[in-house]
Amino acid sequence: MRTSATRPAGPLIGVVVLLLGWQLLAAGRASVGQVVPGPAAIVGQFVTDGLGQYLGSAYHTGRAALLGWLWGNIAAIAAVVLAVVVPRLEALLLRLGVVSYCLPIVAIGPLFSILFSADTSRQVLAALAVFFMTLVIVTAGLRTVDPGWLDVVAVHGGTARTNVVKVRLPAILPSLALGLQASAPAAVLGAIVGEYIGADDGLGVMMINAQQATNAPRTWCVALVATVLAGVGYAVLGLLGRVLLPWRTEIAATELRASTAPHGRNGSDRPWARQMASSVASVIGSVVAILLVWEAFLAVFDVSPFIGKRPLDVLAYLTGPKVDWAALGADAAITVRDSLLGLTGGALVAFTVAAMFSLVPWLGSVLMPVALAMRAVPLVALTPVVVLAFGRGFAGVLVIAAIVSFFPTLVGVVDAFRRTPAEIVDVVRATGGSRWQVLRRVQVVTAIPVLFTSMRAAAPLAVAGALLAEWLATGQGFGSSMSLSLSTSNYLLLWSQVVLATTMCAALYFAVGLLERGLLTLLAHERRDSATTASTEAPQVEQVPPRDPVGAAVARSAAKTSAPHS
Amino acid sequence: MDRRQFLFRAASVAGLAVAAPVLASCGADGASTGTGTAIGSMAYQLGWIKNFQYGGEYIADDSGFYAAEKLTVDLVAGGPTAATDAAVQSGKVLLAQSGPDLTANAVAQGADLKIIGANYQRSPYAIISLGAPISSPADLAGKRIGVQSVNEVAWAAFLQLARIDPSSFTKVPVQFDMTPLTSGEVDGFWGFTNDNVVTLKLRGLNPTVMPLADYGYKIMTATYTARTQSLQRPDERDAIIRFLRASIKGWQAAVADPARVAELTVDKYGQGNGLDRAVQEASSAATNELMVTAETQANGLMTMSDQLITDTLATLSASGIHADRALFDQSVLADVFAGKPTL
Repeated sequence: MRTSATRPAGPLIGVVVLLLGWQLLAAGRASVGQVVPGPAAIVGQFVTDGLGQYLGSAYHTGRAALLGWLWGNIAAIAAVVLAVVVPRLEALLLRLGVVSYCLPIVAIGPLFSILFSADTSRQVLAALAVFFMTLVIVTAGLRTVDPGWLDVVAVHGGTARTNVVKVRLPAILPSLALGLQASAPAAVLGAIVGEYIGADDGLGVMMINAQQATNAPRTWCVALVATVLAGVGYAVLGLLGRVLLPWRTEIAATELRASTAPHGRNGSDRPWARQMASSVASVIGSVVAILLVWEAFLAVFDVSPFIGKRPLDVLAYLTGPKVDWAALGADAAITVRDSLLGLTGGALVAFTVAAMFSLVPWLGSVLMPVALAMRAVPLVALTPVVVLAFGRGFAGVLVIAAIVSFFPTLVGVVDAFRRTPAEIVDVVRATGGSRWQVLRRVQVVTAIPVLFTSMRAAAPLAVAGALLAEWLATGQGFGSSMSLSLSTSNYLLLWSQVVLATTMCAALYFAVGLLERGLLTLLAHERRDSATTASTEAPQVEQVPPRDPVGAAVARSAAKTSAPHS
Repeated sequence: MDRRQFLFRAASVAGLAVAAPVLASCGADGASTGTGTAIGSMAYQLGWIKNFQYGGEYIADDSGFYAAEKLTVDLVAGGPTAATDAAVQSGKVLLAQSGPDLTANAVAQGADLKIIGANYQRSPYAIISLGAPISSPADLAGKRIGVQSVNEVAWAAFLQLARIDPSSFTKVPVQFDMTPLTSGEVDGFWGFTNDNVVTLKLRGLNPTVMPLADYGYKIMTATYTARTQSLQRPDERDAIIRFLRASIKGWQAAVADPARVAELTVDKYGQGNGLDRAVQEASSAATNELMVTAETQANGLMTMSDQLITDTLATLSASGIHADRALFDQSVLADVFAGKPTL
């Protein structure tokens, strides 16, 4: 955000232009104005309702979000500490995290609301949204521990315990601060979704009432207040992080994401067959752990057998005569299609937009803050708008699933473009290359690995977006059939659908991860080939290929660009 | 379950997960009967977030009718995806508001539930149109009709009872937000006579309303659901009777005074959630048409007459929901009213 700090006029102009265009569009077409009221109508509604009305609701939502943020982060930190003490558990905990991130809220939310009080339920949903985010970021921080420090401890006769206490735990503090900050908006969205499922108060309840009264300006006021609430949480925690950890350095988004790729920690120097066997064993271990958590959840929370189905119940149902595989298969096919196209569509658009921002820098500084703010708008509020613009068919679902995967990809790729080493850009410019050539020959190449890492993080979001769109808009796929199972009390089918949808989502996550890993390995090998002549440190590169994908890509592009018109 | 309990148990789950490899064989049986509600206090699960629909309960609470019965009642808010029958069956609440279609489905899935009273004698469902009027089933032909997924079971039943060919129109999935109707995206919208219609009229629009109840869809709704075992255990049955006695007194007052319902809804029970007083009052008044019939004037509010049960079963059967008279228990209201039509 350095651009916005040094040139505050840029974003301001962007916002003004956007608001004017919005107002003109809303005034021009009555049908659009009903769903997307102009800024004047929204401000008018806000003034009529009064600040107190919104502060009251925001207080309830904020309180639930804060508590959920607290519990979710405590759980994530406990998991990370466990991973530090028992490193073997790290992969397992990360997989549990992925599954927690993949659970379909459409089905899980109502189940929580039966099990817990409405207030607890929204906190649990907020905590669930927080857990994976912090877990991933802090685990990434673990991997960035400088091996040199561990060597220092070893040289001075330090034990494994010294390593943990003196090096590893302190080293995660910066990434912990980042995790605590990044999970704040997620907590707000989780709490609002919980309220939307059913609660006594809060912004989600106010949004239901506003929608039921077909009061579009108020729906938008609520959505904007939610956005501000999420933004305030993010900003306050960012400030706290800077005050409490003044030595904290910004972690490169690229480094972070790359380091969370689902690769074995020390895999590449072992024979392929042993790697394979160890991966299979690790996956089986994760599945067993997930099933045990499932059983433990049902037992500890005393879940009534009417709503809580056990793994063996689901297995018996899915292998029994009553299961309708044709229907489940059709739902799965639709949801997979919606998610995949949403994911790739969102990523392609994000990549294109990031490229545009890079070619026309002022456009980036104008629109990027707007794009980031839009990220916090609850999808539940956005869906009616998208449906009106794109219809309830395939296009509508595609847009909703794409919107959710668009933002994380945009942030990652813009960051990658910005971090392109200046020397390489200078080389291209000095040899007469245009800005377009810099983009095409250097930046795009360096950003492709980041694109994949961002897409992996976005995969569960794309599935969630597809399910939400199917539930609220198209009436097809798992999103719709899970809500039907709920209204017909068919909990066995509901749990089976949850298992299938979660498995599908996790599979998508790991499949994108495999693609990413393959690509990074490929790039690292090319880097080694091009770098061996210049550097004697090649073996070290070989040991940790995915650690520095950007460097690898840059080396590769540098090798290419140094030969004119290759 | 409050937060303290939740945290304790969540910690246990975490502990179990971590110790999972050791405790691999520790499969506690998931069976539970739920915690019995103490008789001095009970919970009633609402079907929706707190609005005019629970006016009788608000008055019973605010006027001390529950207190007079030595009851503290927790009115648990529902919402767009509330599964209220499951909340009763799982033991979370003693009573819930539901509909006979939902309860019959839950029973078909193994729940042991009874319907013990009906707030609405008539279905509030209607197809609401703003442009080309849809005033009879014949007008549906060629139209785009918005139906919520939660109402699809009822919609299928209506189509069969009114003998409408489902392929003669286009069904569009919507939620409760009426924007698809006001923006012209759909021609007809599945809504409530005592809610959506009122909202549209107060906005100065002139909706055409086709109540489904006028075309064969005869069904009681906004029903009270209890577990069979609660009706058999003397202490729980007694608490249910005391709750209904106080609630019916509240509903008698609500029918007479919609303004009071609006006041309690907006200023107390749904306070801070942006509800509109005029809409709540008009909706509460419109609800009287669903609650008060010649039958209830003779036998009291919430009555489930033999005829109403017969009609309800016929409507359920039309949508392929198989239920019999055992789904209903008329004895609780008989105990509540003790032969009088009012309390």
